[in-house]
Amino acid sequence: MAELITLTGVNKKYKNGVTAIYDLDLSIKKGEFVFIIGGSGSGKSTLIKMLYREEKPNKGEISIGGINVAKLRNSKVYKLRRRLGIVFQDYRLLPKLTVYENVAFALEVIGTKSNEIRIKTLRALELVGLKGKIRNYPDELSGGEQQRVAIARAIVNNPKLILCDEPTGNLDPKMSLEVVKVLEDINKTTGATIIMATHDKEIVNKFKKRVVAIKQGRIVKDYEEGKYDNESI
Amino acid sequence: MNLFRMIRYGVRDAFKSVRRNLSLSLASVSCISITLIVVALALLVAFNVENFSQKAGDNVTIVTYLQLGATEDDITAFETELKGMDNIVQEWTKQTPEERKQSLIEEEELLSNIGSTIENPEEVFHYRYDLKVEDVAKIEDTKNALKALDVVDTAEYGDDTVTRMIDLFNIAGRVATIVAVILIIVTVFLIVNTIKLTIFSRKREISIMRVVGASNMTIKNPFIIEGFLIGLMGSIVPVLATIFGYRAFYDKLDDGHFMTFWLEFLNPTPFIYFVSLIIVIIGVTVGMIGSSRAVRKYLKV
Repeated sequence: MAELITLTGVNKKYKNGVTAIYDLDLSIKKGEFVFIIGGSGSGKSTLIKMLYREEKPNKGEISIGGINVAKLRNSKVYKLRRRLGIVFQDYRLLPKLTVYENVAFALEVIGTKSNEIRIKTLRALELVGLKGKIRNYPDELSGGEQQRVAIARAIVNNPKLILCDEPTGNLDPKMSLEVVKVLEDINKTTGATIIMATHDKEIVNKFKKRVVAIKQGRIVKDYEEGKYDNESI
Repeated sequence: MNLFRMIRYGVRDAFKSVRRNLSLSLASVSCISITLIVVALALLVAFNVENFSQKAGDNVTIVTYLQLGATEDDITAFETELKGMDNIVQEWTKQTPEERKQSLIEEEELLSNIGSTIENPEEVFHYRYDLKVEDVAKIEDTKNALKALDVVDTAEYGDDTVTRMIDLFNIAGRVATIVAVILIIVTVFLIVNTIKLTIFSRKREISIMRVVGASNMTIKNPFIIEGFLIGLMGSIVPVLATIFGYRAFYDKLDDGHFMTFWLEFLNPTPFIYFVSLIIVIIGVTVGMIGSSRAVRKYLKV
């Protein structure tokens, strides 16, 4: 299968002098499900942020589906982001909007027509198993459900790539499992590529996906059907 | 994004946030209203003074006498000089010494005998020029410029109450303009703060918008429109005050005149609508300048 993402010689040094990523090379194929693992400060969040162009590398190239992300102008970043879905540890839902409105919001602000919004929003909520809670507000849901709303929002525009930055970080093991299962389903049914940064050992070991381990900004292990390897962290 | 949909989205959001920050929005709206009332006053004064000056200018003449024995060359040089003066209406009446002698003979019976005995009128009579000015407010400068010419003996204009009153109006207009400018600056700062608060209160929403790929225009527009709305709402009271205030004032006058023939105020229609339009434009512009400053400063996209 074709490569969706290629990183070559990527370096990232923050303005405060901290170097987060050293000379990183990585390629990910279309339809893959990849865990990026590593301890705190290993650089996995920085890597995810560079993929949606929240951070810019100081050196090297990042190509996503043919777009050179590193050279993308600030004013054009939105074009990249419309083709991505992003899920965060803290869900980032709007508390005053219902579940339905939260998901529809992502389409509204990019100017989707209203009948299209309705169809896409309901389909996304069905995919994450929350069709029965579309009128609830985020604070009426469990953490796992809130994260599933966030996932629905990330997939509502049919992205080919979904980036997850510690999506289970705030969840208990049962809910974590539920959330990653939803992601796996999406990966299988829609064929979207999923990159998930995590330090959740149980999850990584259970799902047997490709595992890329990062330590101090360098890739130290890259396994197919890998497991969480304590030595490398 | 479809432009119409983007604007509709922006307007809806702008209304929402005006309601959400009602007290600060109201403060901004009142500040703009006060500012615009002063602006309106300044405009009303300025346009009317302009009108007075024109009317008065038609009735004030600078009478200029050249030195005795001015030669043909002096006359040509003087008239060339006049043509170069901006404030002088380029149509004047000129009397040669000979003509003045004749008019003396014709007009004054008593003096006609003396008049006819004058053999060399250029030794007795000066060349006389009656000059009109374009802008009566600058008449003093023009008179002085004339006096500074070697060939000119005297240059005077009659009634200086006219110019003194126009000076007074001009000062009033200038004071109002300065106050208006200061108020506009204060208002811009207040609007910057209002919009800043809106931006902060919607930080989460903005961050989500950025993540899902809303364009910069979509993110910024609601705030710019909010500034526009504040400006628009702020101009309602000043516009009403202008329209009804000036009408009431004008109705109290004797057919638009105040005391003398030249103090003629401008007819309310269409004048007040013109002033109102300027006020709305200023209000909206001030609102949008304030909001775009806030967006540039506090909304990094």
